[in-house]
Amino acid sequence: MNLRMRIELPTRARAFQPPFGVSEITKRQLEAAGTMSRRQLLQRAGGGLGWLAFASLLGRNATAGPLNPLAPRASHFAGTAKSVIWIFANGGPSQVDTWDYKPELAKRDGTELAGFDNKTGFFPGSVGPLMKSPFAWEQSGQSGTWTSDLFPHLARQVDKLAFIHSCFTNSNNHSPALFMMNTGVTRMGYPCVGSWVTYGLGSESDALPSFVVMSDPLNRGLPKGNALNWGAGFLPSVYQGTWLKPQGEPIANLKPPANLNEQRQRAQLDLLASLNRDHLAGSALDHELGARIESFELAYRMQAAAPEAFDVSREPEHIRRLYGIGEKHCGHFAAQCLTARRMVERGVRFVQVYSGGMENQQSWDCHSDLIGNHRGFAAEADQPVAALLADLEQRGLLKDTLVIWAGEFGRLPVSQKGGKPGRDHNPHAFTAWLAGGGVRGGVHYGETDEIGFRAAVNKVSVRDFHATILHALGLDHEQLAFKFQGLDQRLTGVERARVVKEIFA
Amino acid sequence: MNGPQVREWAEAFARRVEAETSGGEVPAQIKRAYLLALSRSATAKEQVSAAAFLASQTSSYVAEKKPNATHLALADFCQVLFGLNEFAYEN
Repeated sequence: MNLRMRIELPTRARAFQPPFGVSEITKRQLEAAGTMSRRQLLQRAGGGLGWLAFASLLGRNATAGPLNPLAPRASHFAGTAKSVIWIFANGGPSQVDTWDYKPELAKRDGTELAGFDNKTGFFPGSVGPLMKSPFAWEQSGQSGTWTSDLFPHLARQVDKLAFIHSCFTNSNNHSPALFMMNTGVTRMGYPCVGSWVTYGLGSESDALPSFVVMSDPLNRGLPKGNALNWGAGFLPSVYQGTWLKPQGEPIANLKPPANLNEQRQRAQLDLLASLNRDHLAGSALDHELGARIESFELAYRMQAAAPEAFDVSREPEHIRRLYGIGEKHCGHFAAQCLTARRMVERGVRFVQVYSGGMENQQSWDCHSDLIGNHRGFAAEADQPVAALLADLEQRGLLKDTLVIWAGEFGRLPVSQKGGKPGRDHNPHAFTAWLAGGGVRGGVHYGETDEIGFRAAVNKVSVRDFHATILHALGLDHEQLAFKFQGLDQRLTGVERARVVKEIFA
Repeated sequence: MNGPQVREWAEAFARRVEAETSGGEVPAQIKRAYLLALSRSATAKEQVSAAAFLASQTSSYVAEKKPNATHLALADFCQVLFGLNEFAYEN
C-alpha cells in the first residue's frame, strides 16, 4: 500500500460525498486500501475538515471507532521483522577490541600512526601510539567469526549475528553522535528511529506503550541528550518513546488513587473522553489533541497490563538463570533484557535498552583503562544479550524480532595516554551487529582498514543503517514520509541511502 | 490521571467550589467549576453530563458508606476538568 496516496481535499464545501470530484482510480484505491469514505470519516469523527488531514496522516486502515494513531498499519511490503530490540552500547565501544579482529594492529603495536590528525578524537593532546587489543581472540561458531574474550556467551550465539564492520558517523562527540545514530541528524530535535517505526507501523499492543526505552539502573546517568534520543521531533508526540524509570516502578502512578474503584475511574475517563471529543469537534484540527484523548485510554489499559509485563519475577527459574537475573555483575541488565523480550512478546513495536550510563567510566566510553572499562561493561551485557537471543529463538520470536547491537561511534586504534591507557572517540569506524528479523547469521559486511581505523570497504553510513532497519520491518525509507515545513521529511533525509540487503537471508 | 499531586489539587479545587457556592447545589457547583477552570459557562449539554456523572459517582460512594460522598464525587469531577484538553492548552 502506498503511503503517498493522497485523499484529495474537496475545494467546495458541498463536495463531501466520495463520488463527487473523486476519480474512479482513487475510489478503487480507497476501497482496496480498506479506507473509509470521507463521509464516513467525518460522520464518525464528529465533523471537521481537519480530520481528513489527520486521516491521510495515518494513511490507511482507519479503524472503526475513534481514530487511533497507534492502530497497527500495514507495511509497504512484506517485511521480515515485526518489532525491534536495540541494545545501544552507549559511549562508543571499541571495535578493534569487541568485534573487529585486527592482527595487523597487534603487529604495529607501539608504533606511531603516521599522518594521524590529532583532532580526530576528542582529546588532541593525549594521542599515543597504536595499541593492540589486549584481549584474547579466537574463532567461534560455524561461521568462524573472530570473537574477543570479552563476550564468551555471545560467542556461542555468534552464528545468529550479521556484522557490519564498516559503519561510520559524522561526529566525534557523544550528543551529536547519539542524535545521529538515533535520528539521522547531528542536531537535536528530530524524530528518532523508534518514532518513525511506530509512525509507520503503529503498535500491536493497545495496552502497552508502542515504543519503550530503558536506561542505566545503577545511577550512572542517561545517554547524553537524554530524552531527545527517543523523541518524536516533528512527528506527532504520540510516537515518542516511553522511558521506563530505571529504579522503582518503571511507570509511575499505575495505581489509581485509593478512593477510585474500577467503575468510578471508568466513569471519569468516559466523561473526560466525551468532553474532549466535543471540544475537538468544535475546534480546528490538532492531531496532538486527538492523540492526548487516546493517551488516557492507553493509560487506563496500562494500569492492568504494565505491572504484569514488567514483572520478571513471573518468569520461571531457568529463564531467570539464563539471563543472569540476580547476578551481581549483570543482574540489572538481565532484568532489562528480559523485560525487552516480554515487551515484544506483548506487541510492543520498538524497545531500546541503553548499556552503560552517561560517559567515561560510567559507559563504554573508555578514554582511560580500556581493559577495566570494557571487561566491566562486557560482563554486564554479554550473558543477558546472549540469553535474549537464545530465548527469543526458543520461543519462535527471533524470526520476527530484529535485535540490534550498536553504539554511537567507535574508538581509535591509537591509545589515549594515561596511567591505564584507553582509546579516544573514532567517528570513522565502528561495528554494529544485527540478528533475527530476517537477518542472515554469519554474514560479515564491510571492512575497516588493516588497523581498524577507518571504514574502507562497503562503507555504511548511519542513514544506510537506518534504511536497513526500516527495510527489515517492510518499510521503504523513501516512502515513509511526513510533511513538515513544506517538505516530505524522511528518516533517511534527502541524499540517497542504501539498504544493506546483503545482511538479509 | 493517577498522580497523587493532581488528586490533591482536585480535592482542593472541590473544596473551593463548595466554599464559593451555597447549599451544595449541584448545578451551581458545576457552573462555578467551569467558570474557574475554563473561564466560561458550561453548555447545557455539559451541565447534563456533569450532573449525571456527579449523581452516579455520589451513589457509588454512598453505597460504600463513605461519609463525604458528595465531596469525593465533586473532586472526581474536578479531576476530570484538569484532564481536559481545553484546560491543558491555551488557545
